[in-house]
Amino acid sequence: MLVTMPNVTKEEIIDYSMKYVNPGKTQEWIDRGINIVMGKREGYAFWDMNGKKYLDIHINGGTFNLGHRNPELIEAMVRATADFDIGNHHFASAARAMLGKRMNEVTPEGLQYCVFSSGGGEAVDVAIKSARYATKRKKIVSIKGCYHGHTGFSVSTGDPIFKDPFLAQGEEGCFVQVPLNDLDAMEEELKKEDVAAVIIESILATYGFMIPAPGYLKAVKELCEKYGALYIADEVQTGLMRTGKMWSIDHEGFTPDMLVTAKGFSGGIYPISCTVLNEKAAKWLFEAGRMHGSTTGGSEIGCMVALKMLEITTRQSTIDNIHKNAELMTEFAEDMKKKTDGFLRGYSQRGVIMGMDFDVKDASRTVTPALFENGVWAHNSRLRPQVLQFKLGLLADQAYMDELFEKMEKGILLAADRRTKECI
Amino acid sequence: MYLDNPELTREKVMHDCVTYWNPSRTMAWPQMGVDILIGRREGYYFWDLDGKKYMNLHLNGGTFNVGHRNPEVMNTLKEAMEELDIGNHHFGSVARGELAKKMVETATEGMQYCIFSSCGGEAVDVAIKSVRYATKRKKIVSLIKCYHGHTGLALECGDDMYKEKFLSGLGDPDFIQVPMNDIDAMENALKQEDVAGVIIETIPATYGFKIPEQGYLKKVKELCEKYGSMYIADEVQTGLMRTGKLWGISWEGVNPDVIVTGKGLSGGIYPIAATIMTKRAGLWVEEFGRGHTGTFGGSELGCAVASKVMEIVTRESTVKNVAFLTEYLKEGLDKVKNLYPDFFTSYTQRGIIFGLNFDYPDGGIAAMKSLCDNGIWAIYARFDPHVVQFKPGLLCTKEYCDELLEKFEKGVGEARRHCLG
Repeated sequence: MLVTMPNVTKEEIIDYSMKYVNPGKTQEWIDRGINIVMGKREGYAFWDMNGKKYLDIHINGGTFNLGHRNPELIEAMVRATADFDIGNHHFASAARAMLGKRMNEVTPEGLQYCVFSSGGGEAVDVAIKSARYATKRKKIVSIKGCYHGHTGFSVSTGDPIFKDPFLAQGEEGCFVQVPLNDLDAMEEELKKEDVAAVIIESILATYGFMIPAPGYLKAVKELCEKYGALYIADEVQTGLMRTGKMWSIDHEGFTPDMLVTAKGFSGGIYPISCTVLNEKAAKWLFEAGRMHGSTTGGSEIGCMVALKMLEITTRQSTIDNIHKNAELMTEFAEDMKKKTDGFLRGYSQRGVIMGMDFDVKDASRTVTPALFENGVWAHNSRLRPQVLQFKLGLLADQAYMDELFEKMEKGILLAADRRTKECI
Repeated sequence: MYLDNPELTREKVMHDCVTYWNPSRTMAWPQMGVDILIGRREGYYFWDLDGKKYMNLHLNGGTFNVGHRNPEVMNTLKEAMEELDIGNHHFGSVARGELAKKMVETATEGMQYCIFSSCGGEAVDVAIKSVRYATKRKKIVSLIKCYHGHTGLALECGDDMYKEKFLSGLGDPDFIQVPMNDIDAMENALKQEDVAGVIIETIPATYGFKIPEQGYLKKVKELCEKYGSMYIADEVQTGLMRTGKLWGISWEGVNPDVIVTGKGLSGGIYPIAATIMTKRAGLWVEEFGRGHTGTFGGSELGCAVASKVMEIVTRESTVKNVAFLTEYLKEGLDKVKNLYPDFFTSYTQRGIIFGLNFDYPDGGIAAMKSLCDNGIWAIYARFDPHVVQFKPGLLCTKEYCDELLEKFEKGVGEARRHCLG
């Protein structure tokens, strides 16, 4: 039940969603037994409109990094509305100047120019356009099993399941995919010297948080340099301290030509995303800066929210908390491996990002429902469905961790138990 | 509060925008004689960081339809902040359900579904993906000199100017452009029966608000039906009561398959856009609802804001005010036109959307500068620089119009002297 809409019932909302928004999606969740309409939300929990509480370890890929309705962010946003609004994208602006300067400080040396958008897909489109402008080449190489968004270009870089049904493969021959960790395949494409850019999620989220083989990404960057292509680091799910460092790419020992950030960049309350470019990639910003624009990208209110988000994210106390919780997550996963007798087969982890690899076909139909029954909301990775994404918020405190592990253990054991019975 | 900071000087902001944001965009405006850095803003005014007051007749294409920092809209956002956030795009949601219902019920006949995005370009991308899914065809037809956004697919259906330098879509056989008002060219494009959709700004904005010939859009819609294509009405600049009707397309007697709206839906404070579709165009949401999504699209805070915007723009008092402004500003502009008939030669109008023609090379840019000197911010049309886009807000008062027309007369006079001597 919502205070601002006291007369609206959950049934009505499901009915409206079926009738007016997206019946396919709405029905799919109902069929899976996950019939949520979010009501109240706070910290890393939300309540269904029927009153049931869920701990959120999906956090929409980091969108709620700092929690649902973080009070500091809300205050920043309300303060911002006293001066600002979306603003005028044509002109220089005080808020964009402040955020641009701060982004320069928190990104690796050399990444300097910020183009703001209002969603991650749009920010990826900007990166692709920038690379094409700078290199005068058209082709974009991405990784099989990747996901970069649903807008025009971002969807064409992604997996066929997202682009084929919409006939959105892009211009013929312009979007090529190679397998992760296969340097030969990558070099095969790059050595044609017609590739504008390679785009890679620093850890592939939709592919189950597969961490690239040590040195792979750096070697790709070297190949890019050798053959005149640019390297775009998609840090939408891995940036903003989720890996224990500001960007996952900071673990890899090189600086990309471009970096894309979104989701958590919004503080969970205001749509804003950012493409950060080095001088080479930013050529259009010097020569044709009015050739790409976005009415709501770089909204001045959004800039002030993002500034506060960066302040909270880069606090020492936040970083310490992430390291502490990352260790707890490792201990928990190890413990679960033992307790479930191999039902949890293994896991990948960097910081508070974890992919839990279960001995199932589809974790969203087995582990997710069992966790859900125990008040935990987690989802699998769509392109490696046996992997459950465990995405912990940056500021989770000890009491939350205790509650979470207790509920997760119950849920995982329940799923394991069901699985055993199924086998018998 | 933020703007009270004494360290926030013009020099510092310009320096930081050149260094960390967009150097050539930052410098392009001062080079055109428009040296604006927006600070405080309220209603249909804003103040430069240095204190100079401007009347806003650009409104970012209707983004500030209901004014800068409209108190009702801000209040709604603050109230919604008490319990909502961006929300979860996977699930049904209170705010999305309510808004979608409202959008569908107030749209043209036959609409069924509403999908939310965080900006207009993304909403156009959704429209294109939807008609491709529904028709199993790929080609998109648009008009020469049109503009639909800068995201991937929106960009490709737009004018070559924005595609060329980014090597994006130029010459792509899946995107065809035909001249406006040329029915034969349109029929030629459609009759191969391989076109998924036709997308048209109901009044092409970047082309200087040239109003399509009477009956043209209706005929296009009929051709779409004949050849199995869908009609997408881009109402980003023409919707939300700017023409005196909620959607500009309603003047044309056309029930489109898809309507796209953005800009003003945000209330000027929170990014949100929408793609409204018939059941047929929305086939994917029935069959493959998880095939497209956006983390921020349909943010519940945005839905609350947009809901309030819809309430304000459809209010009887607003509709009446638009009717008043339509007549009053027409009279005022006619007076100025009669004063300077050799320079301010004509204008197009529908409701409170105006394209003002200044008959001189780059006359629109000259007029923009002189208007700017006189405290009016109105922008030239990028694809026809003779034209100044003149976009007053829905809630402007008579007093505002009087102040505006006085300054306008002065500004146009100065521009004329400057150009014609």
